[in-house]
Amino acid sequence: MTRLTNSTFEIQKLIGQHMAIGDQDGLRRCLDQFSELLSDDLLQFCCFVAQLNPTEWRDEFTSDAHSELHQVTLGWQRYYQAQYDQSQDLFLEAFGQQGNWNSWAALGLGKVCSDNGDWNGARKWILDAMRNARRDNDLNQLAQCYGALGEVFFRTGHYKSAFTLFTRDKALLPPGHEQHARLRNYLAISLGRLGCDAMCQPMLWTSLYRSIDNNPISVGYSVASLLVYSFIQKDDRLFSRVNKFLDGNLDRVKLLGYSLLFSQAIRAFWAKRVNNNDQAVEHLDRFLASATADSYPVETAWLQSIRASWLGNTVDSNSFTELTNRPIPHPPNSLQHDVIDSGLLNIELPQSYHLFKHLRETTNVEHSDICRALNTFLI
Amino acid sequence: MKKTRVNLALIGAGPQGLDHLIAAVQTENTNFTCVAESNSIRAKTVAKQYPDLRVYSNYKELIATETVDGIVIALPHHLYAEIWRDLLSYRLPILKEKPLARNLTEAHRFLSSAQNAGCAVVTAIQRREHPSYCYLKQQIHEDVVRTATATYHLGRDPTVISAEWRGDGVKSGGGALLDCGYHMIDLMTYLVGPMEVVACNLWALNTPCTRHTVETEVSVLCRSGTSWVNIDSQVGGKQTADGKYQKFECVELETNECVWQADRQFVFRDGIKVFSCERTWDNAMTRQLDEFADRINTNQFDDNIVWEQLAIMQVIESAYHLAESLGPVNEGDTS
Repeated sequence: MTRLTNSTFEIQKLIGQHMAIGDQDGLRRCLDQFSELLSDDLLQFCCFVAQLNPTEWRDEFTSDAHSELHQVTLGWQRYYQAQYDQSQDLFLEAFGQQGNWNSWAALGLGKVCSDNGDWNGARKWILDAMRNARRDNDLNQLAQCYGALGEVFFRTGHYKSAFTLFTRDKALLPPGHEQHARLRNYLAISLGRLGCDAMCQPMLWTSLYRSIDNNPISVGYSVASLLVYSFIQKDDRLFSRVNKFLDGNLDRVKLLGYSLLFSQAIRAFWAKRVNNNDQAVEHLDRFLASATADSYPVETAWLQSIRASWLGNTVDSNSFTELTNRPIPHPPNSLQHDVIDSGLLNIELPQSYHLFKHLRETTNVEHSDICRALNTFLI
Repeated sequence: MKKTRVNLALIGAGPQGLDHLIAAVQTENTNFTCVAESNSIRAKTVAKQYPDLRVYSNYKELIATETVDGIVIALPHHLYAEIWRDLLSYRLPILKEKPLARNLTEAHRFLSSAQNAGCAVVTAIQRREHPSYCYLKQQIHEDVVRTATATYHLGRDPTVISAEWRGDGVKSGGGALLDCGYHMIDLMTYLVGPMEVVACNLWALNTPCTRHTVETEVSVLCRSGTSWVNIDSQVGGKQTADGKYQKFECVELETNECVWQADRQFVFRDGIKVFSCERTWDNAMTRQLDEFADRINTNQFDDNIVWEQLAIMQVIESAYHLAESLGPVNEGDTS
């Protein structure tokens, strides 16, 4: 990694502050002013975190492909493109360098394991990242680790622990942080799983309305969560109400990524549930037309197979099987955890990712809400 | 300075009050001469067990009749407020059972009225006097604690809501946080330093709750300087195969040097046992009474141990507040 001069260190701190509070405009202004002083790697990393396009500030990048930061940055890009093999290799190589970005690599590996259903591996990597985040006093990253671990516990059915971890994630972020709405969604769906229905739905609506004017992506998540919730509860009125909201606010709601997947898939499965096959396929087609196999290869392959089965066609599921049966290497024994997290290590998680693979082979999407919803449906 | 044996009065002869009587037998420095207990069955029991004690059914009668050097009070949480003004009028040093009060406002009121009355107040917090935790404190003396976790499970069935004052939020002031959580917050403050609350989750069984419900479980994340501290207190605990709840207490500290684990019996350093002692409270409570006697003899009541209890109440208040502000119970319904 390029050694930072004092001035760039100050700029890095300033950038860090903007990133910590999720101030995208502030970060953009900062990059406008100082981008020339930043290394290629750092510029790319800032852009990755803030979801900005690095070519706005630099035409060509000459990063050392083997530098730790470059690998971490690229690893995260691949992760968000669901290219887990590449992402994992990049993170592992970066982690091996044991440099300044080590904990970001560990967190990335935790997320890769989590998305592939290797719960124990995910927990080990994330706890290691948490340890480093505490050591570096990086509250932003610590918050992300709590959230990532919350997802692991949520997906394995430990909703109480998940709720506590999501609470900590939210508490560590400054007031007004853009991630609050997303976390409120996570808290709400954890409550739903805990049987606290009276708290779940109001919280999802609150999350939706609080972010409608300033965070359309979060609104997308809320809408998707409400659709999933209505599906699980088999609540026709709620399903109609959410759809009505969605149709009336499409210009304000950014249905991107997972939220797009959730919404269209749930609409498709709802239609299927009420035996409206044509509409079910139509919704799937909408998703397949919007999502690209590059961005969501596993989901796309799975939904294609679902679509084919609904149309009575046979499908070649090799690509899907190939994507989901890849071995995940075990985390090294050198990973450590803080004493404060001992309790989290004592909670028994499924030993392998068979269950998740099974879910994926039948329901196969990233988010356990959909898995659960579809499981309910399939049963 | 030559130590003078101090004569004490006990108000409240419930289980905790009786522990004070047992502890006093083991020290030359204190002597309980009288007890006030309004429950006639308890009063008779204590009179039978301790024939030298003069037993009263009313604390006012006790104070009016007896001449003592200090008062030890061990009452249900809500009764302190009822008798506080009266007690202060006797201008005697008071050793009261934890919590300092049911909430921060009441704690401030207790301490400021005591100060105005020229009356010293010490809170009974036995873990600070327990040999294993004292040993641990000595060992980590100059080491920096990175992270710590304190667990205290009472091992009682949390589904059974007490029909007495503990099950009443107004009378008790709270559940797992104010009751067993108080011990752990105090212990961590003693071992690690003053703390700020970062996040708190209160549970009434499996439902998140606020202080308006008597919580059965609490999980608090705190920060103390560069240290991170987790407090886990539960009325219940881990369930065994036969459905019973396990009582459990343990603290773990990770310093720059090593990992410490301690409970009321052992201290381990990096997994190796380095200290052991009796698990019981006798020793700690005797030390506490000795210290109270010392304070009375030297009239030393202005050090941190008194005021730190206000900080403990502040941590608890913040935790309740955060649980309320972060929790979903407070979210508005838009429907």
